[in-house]
Amino acid sequence: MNDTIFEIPSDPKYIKRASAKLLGALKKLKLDKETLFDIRLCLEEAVINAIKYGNKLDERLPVVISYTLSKGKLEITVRDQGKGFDYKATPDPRSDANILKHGGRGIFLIEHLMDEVRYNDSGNEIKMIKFISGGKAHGSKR
Amino acid sequence: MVVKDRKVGDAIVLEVEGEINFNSSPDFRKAFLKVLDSKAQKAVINLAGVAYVDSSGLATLVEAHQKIKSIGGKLKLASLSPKVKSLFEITKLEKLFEIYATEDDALKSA
Repeated sequence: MNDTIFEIPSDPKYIKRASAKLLGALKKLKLDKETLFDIRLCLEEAVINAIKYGNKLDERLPVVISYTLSKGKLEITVRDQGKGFDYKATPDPRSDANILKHGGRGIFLIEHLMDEVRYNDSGNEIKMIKFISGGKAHGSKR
Repeated sequence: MVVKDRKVGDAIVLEVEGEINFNSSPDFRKAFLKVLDSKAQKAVINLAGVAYVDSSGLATLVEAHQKIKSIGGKLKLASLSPKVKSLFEITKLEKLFEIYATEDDALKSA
């Protein structure tokens, strides 16, 4: 799969359009349903964070999404136009102190379901990596 | 997403069809608040028709759990798909919710 890059406006109605585009591109790989669920969830969580917290729901600001698959390694990048966030300071949503809180589960799910997660220095770009071979993901933390 | 509610004995069952995600969570919240207005002390959310829940959906379910608890009621979840159930396991929300294999099991529980 060649590098693909596209943008969506910071409007929640485009969330599913973004994931449908990626899942459509992955169709020929015949991945199992569980892997497709994980990929969709992680992309949508990253896009929601970019729209809501990065671009603060300003429709004029784009969310830039790119993906590439090479040698069984799917890389997905989501970038917003915000100042970034301190990803090292995200609290554990499983702790008793946080279990009832509204936020914090999106990033946690991404870090759990993807094989590698990286951020750029300013914290406004997330790169998510999933290793895929023979229609199944491997190396997952599930 | 479509939410249908019905009364079964002293419980209200909410049957959800579709996805509970960032965009549909406000509608789900409205449907649940209607249950609270009915003063039901026991609510069962049947998730058999839900193949996708995101973190906003999980947060809305936590809110529903807290709201019914605050009026002395109980919320039970039933018929989760294996994938949706795995999200409750990963996030440890399984320790917060009473989760049952079927709606009948949830209704029969105390």
